[in-house]
Amino acid sequence: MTPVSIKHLHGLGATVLLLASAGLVWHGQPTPSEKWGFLAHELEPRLIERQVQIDPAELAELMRNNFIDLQLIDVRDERDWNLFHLWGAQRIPTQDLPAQHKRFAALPDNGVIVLVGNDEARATEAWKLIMATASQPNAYILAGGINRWLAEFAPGHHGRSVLAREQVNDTLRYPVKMAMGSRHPAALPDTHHVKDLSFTSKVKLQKRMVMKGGCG
Amino acid sequence: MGPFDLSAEIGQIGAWTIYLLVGFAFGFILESAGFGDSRLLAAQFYWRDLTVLKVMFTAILVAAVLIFWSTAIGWLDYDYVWVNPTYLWPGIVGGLIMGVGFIFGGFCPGTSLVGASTLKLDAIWFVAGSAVGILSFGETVALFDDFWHSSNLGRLTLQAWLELPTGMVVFGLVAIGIVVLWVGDIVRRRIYGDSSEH
Repeated sequence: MTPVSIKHLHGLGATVLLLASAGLVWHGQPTPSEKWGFLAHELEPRLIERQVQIDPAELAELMRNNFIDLQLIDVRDERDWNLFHLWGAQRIPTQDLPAQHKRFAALPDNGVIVLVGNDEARATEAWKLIMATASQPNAYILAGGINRWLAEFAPGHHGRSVLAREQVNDTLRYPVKMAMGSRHPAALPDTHHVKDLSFTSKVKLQKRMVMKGGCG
Repeated sequence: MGPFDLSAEIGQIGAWTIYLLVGFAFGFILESAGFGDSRLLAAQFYWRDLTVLKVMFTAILVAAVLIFWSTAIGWLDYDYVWVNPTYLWPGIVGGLIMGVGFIFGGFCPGTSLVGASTLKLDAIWFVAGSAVGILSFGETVALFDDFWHSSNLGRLTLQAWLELPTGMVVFGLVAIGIVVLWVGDIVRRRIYGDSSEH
């Protein structure tokens, strides 16, 4: 092959690489919703089969488990948060979750994220966002949300009537008379109460598998 | 969606076979590019021969374009690709040590194995020296553990540091790479003439 031909090949290669990288500028990287589109076929069944919606009793046990690094993420609005929220929870609106992706991705192997809404709709959207932006396998949703939690653990007999009411836009249906935040007795249920409840354990710690490499 | 856990997908033997084939291809290409020759590698630092710069830089840029196009079309989940965490000052000091070792010895760790596999004596001694160095590091690292773990910036990427879209960073790198290699070649020919390169 003559030197001139090699130069042409070099030029061609450089042009192809430059055009390919220019294409990246135009196409961009996937947005969270686009990435969910790529992951949906694999992850949607987990939602449908309710593999990631955990019982309030299981969450209550996790809250007292010192071997688990529990991240309770409350995605409700500020009004509902002030009325009642779980002990140890942090309020992060859904739109602010992508900014936390590094933190969620860097959770230790014993880290568990539980997303909390008033029902499940908002928490499910938050779960999809976390799976798309942080690829965190140990993320779960509180089944039934705060409404079910309060029906289960709050004093009084509002439980069945609250849960029987129609779910509207993930609103707080349980009558909380004043803003107590996490000072409400149901924010951290008594262990004796929790022991009496039966549930199917769904939290399984999975390693966030990252392919390691190196170079020499 | 990648990356794939090969052991889970095709079993341990299958995974090892893939690793073997990739290693074979890597070593074959390095040797055919002349990277088993310490004179060629050292010549890089005197700007006498830019083969190392051209091959490595091109490989990095091609890999970057492939990785981010794969991510863009949903073939790869970039969040699962390992990016070495940045320990800034240990990285700088380690880079200095490796750079000095590279120009003294004429090899980096990978190319020393390439040279050793063809029984080049300097490569074999370099590998032996590397082994002693690695062992010594392992036995003494506790003494400077604080420094070794200092200035941890985590999984830091260029696009995160520059706060620019990934595509723009990759395009910029490709453009800079092409310019650097082209200008570098002009400089090399001005200093040493046309016949100096491998």
